[in-house]
Amino acid sequence: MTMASDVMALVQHSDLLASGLLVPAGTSLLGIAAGFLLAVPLALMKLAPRPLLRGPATALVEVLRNAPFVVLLVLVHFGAPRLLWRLAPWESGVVALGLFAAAYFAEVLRGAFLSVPRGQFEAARALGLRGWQALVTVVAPQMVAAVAPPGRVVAIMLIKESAVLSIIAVPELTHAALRIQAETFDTVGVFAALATLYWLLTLAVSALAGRLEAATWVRRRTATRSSALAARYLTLDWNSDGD
Amino acid sequence: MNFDASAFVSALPKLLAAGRVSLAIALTAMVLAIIGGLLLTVLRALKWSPLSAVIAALRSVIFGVPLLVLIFVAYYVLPAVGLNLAPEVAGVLAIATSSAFFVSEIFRGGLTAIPAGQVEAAAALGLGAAAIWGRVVLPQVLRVSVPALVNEFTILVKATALLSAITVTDVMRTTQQIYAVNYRPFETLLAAALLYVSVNLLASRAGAFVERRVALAAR
Repeated sequence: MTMASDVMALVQHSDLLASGLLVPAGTSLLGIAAGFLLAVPLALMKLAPRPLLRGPATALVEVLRNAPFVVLLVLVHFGAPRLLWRLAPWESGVVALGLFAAAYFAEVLRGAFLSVPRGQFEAARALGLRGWQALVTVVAPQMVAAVAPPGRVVAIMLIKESAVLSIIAVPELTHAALRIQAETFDTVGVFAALATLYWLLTLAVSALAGRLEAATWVRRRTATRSSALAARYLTLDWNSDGD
Repeated sequence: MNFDASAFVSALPKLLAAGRVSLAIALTAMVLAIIGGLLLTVLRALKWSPLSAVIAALRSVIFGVPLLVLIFVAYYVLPAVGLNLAPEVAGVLAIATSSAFFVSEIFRGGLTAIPAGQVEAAAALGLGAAAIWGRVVLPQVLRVSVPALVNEFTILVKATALLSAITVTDVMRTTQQIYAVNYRPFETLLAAALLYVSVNLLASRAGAFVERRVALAAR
């Protein structure tokens, strides 16, 4: 197995990889959008004082967060025809990613809501705004800064989880790579290319999200340690202030 | 929609037996990840640029590549370069390697909880680097990291399900084997999901208990 043949094989199948690259990007994007929409009512239910609302939402979030994504995915794929109608593999993928994302986003939103001082909501109500008006016009804008950093983590996680869609034969990147590998037996080249493509995709998304985040987020610098001796043990890498 | 409760119930004993495999894999990977994480943390603290650069590059790749792909790399690529591993070993290796980098990040956070004065006091008492690490810094870092480590463990329990893709007979693969025979994927998968969720909720509860026991005295 030479380097040249590796590259040739990958170039020959570059169309398969390129179209495969669109699927994790596309399904993750749809999953993130669906998950975020679904997370809003979930988060509101989890924040509700009534146990009748809070209980089911909490149970759903706990199940979605504590079961492996692959189990949820296959469950959706086989469960959908029983509950609603038959879904194509990629549709099952979007639904499962959306549900999975909703659970994580609901926690992010709940945390962001709790980070806004309660007085803000109460002051808005006292000024005569209705509950939903206070929520949308006063509380929500202040939540953005707290949503952005964990939101980025969840988005990257979803892109990586989308590799699991290959298990129900969604023609995405990992699936394409496994097909090329079965055809060419160029194991090293195919998996090196696969890992590189995912790496570049997540780096790109992370950079993009980082720029959005920078617009909303004031980085709190951790206090530099005054003791050089302590810094030798208590800080990592070449920069003494973390990342 | 008809729910076949008997399919659900009859799947449970087999799944529980497979659960021992999944749990053993998760625990082994966790122990290895903590050892690897401690090692990475100490190496990063040396602040030796070439080493830090290598670790940073590896970390970037590990954080950016899906775990399933890392598992495939361990299972398919390592034999191609002459290292033949059993699927269980390759799987544990992939999960533990990936997790070690996440654990190192947890420990990095834990380091910020340790007052600088402790290290100075230890040095003033004549302790060497090994003693400062082994007796002062790391034991406390481990203790403050318990909640995050428990969370990491639940992530590892979920990660074991991916090993079904490389023929490890864990809960997920056993589930697939069961519904290949009984044609009841929905009920069988529901039982599997229940098992995973129970194990993780139990781990979280146990973690909260341990956390109270080992918490550093409030300062």
